[in-house]
Amino acid sequence: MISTIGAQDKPSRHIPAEAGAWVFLFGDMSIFGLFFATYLYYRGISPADFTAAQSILDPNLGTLNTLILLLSSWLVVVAMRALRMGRQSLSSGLLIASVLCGGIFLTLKFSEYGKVFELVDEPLKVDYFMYYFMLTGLHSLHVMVGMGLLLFMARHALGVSATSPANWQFLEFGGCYWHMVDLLWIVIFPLLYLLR
Amino acid sequence: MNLVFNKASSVWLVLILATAISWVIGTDSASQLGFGPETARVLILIIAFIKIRLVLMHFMELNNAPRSLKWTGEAWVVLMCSVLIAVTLL
Repeated sequence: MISTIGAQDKPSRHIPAEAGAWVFLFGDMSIFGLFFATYLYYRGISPADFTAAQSILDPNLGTLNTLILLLSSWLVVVAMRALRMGRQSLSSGLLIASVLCGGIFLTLKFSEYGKVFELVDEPLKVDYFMYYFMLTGLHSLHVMVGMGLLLFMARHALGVSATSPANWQFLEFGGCYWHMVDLLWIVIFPLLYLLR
Repeated sequence: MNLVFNKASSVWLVLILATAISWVIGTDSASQLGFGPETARVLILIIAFIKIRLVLMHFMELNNAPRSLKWTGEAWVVLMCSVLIAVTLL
């Protein structure tokens, strides 16, 4: 039986992962924030061009990808709770399921890239698509890193000292990183697919 | 502590609902709902940052973090949302 850190419903106040992790997370999110502001500024200069280019994309696909990432985030939340309850195998399985969600997200994203290159001549010379590839490309890199972290987490969750303080700190960081991936997409999705 | 039926799952359902509302506003339905494009843009951004706040507080557990970190998260959400809305309205 493993120890159960934070097994109570309302744990006492503590920094998830560690303070340095939050400097990194807020820093990363703020850099994306600058990209978002830059995109909106240039979109405001020529809204008709951006909207015309955007019409090639299917907002339903963007919505589906949003739902997939939201599902994966929830699976990570449940996995962390399962681990707190000592259910290591279940926790590891849920983390693997989150990785699969990430894989489906990337598959849909890359199939969309194929569609863009099929329908648009030299899309990188179109302002909208330049931002589209920059934002979704950087985000996809984060998805890949997050999937790697989730795989490590799934392995760590099965260890004999799964909830030792050092291990728990890593698991919390991995979880927060994946939630940040979800959080960034929560903004990228409306910016690229819904704003008109 | 219930594994599935808990506050985090309720928050998740709210996130799904908010996504659906954004989709309705952002697709062609905005004009049918009586929103101008500017109002639709602002509403979509506000909904996105409400979702971000929910993820930060409930999934990333800033709700249970020391107050300084929690309020840093709250301030980041308000600041970023305000900046993006301001740029949209320029």
